[in-house]
Amino acid sequence: MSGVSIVVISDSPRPGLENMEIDQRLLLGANDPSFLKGLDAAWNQPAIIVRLYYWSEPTLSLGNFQSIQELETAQDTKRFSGLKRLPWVQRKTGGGAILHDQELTYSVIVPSGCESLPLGSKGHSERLYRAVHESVVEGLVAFGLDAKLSESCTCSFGKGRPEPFLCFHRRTPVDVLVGQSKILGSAQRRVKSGLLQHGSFLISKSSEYPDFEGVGDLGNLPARYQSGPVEVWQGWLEARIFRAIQHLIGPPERVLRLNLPDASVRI
Amino acid sequence: MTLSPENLKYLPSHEWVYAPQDGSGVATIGISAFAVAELNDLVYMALPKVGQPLEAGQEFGEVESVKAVSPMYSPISGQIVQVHEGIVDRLESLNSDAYAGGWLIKVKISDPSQLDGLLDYQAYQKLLAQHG
Repeated sequence: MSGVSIVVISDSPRPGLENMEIDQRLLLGANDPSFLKGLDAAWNQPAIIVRLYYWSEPTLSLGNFQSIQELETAQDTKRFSGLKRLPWVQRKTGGGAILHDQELTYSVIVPSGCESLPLGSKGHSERLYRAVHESVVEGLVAFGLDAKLSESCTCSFGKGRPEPFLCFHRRTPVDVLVGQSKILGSAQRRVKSGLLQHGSFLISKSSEYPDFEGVGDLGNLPARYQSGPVEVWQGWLEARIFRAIQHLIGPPERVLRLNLPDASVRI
Repeated sequence: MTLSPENLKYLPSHEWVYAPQDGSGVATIGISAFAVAELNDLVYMALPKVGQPLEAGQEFGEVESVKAVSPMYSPISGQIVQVHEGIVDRLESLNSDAYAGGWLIKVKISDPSQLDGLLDYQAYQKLLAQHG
């Protein structure tokens, strides 16, 4: 036993602002089990929380330091003026903007002081980031896809040039690629109560911005994944993330799975 | 007493404060060389405005490295009297000097006794050794 419990939330589609507010509440309450007590009266300990969700309408989420004005001048978005009409929300995690359409979002929240998964003290947790991405690559390779971790970087530090506006035009080491297409990118936020890792997994092309291919566009997948609803991929990604965390902490002490098919359920 | 790592007080979250005994009551605050190395390739930093009051332990800004956004915490309470605004355009300079040239804000201290509760250089080095 690792002494650490895991809560897995398969959430219903919600508007962007609500999705971000939920993740922020889960992060700030990472060491306070009272939120979990509201969902399960018997719960009395902090846990690693995994939340899988999608969005009730196509939405842009901007990185923590991005502004919507950048969309006006960005080189990588100027062919798609429709993006400007979409609702947008600011993320608390870093990185570039993400179009949440035909994609799944995940969040992993690790409470500070989690001895089975020490996070370091500043900056990102390479262990968590890499473990989730490697688990996804492993699952995609099992489907016969040419999946791998990126080794290139479009990072702007010290080069005096802006990075692309959209996350999926950027490359950082450990991004998940299928062929040359990026299909999963993640970013983190660290506060006193813990660490939040956000990730975006592209399922298929979005008509709002068809430059990006999703996993369903990139190979012959088993039938249920090729044409299945987003919930099929939600279950698959949940299993890959769960496996990654188990790899890091060992068998969890307790697992609570919450399926929230109704967006009226408050988190 | 000069602004060098040995003369600073630290938070476990790797912010430092320099409080000279010059009667000004103004302390200088930054993040340690260890923090800069841990953050690895800083890309953005947001700093507060002059005049903003701060409580000890309160966030005074945020820094983004390639994969993470991390808040920076004030070691002491007081009011911000100066902000090193130019540093946000040359964050790479923190890699070579996170101290005298890499300060972030200056704060008029409201409660000098808070300094006694911070880590001194030796205690901070011990903390870093525990991090491995």
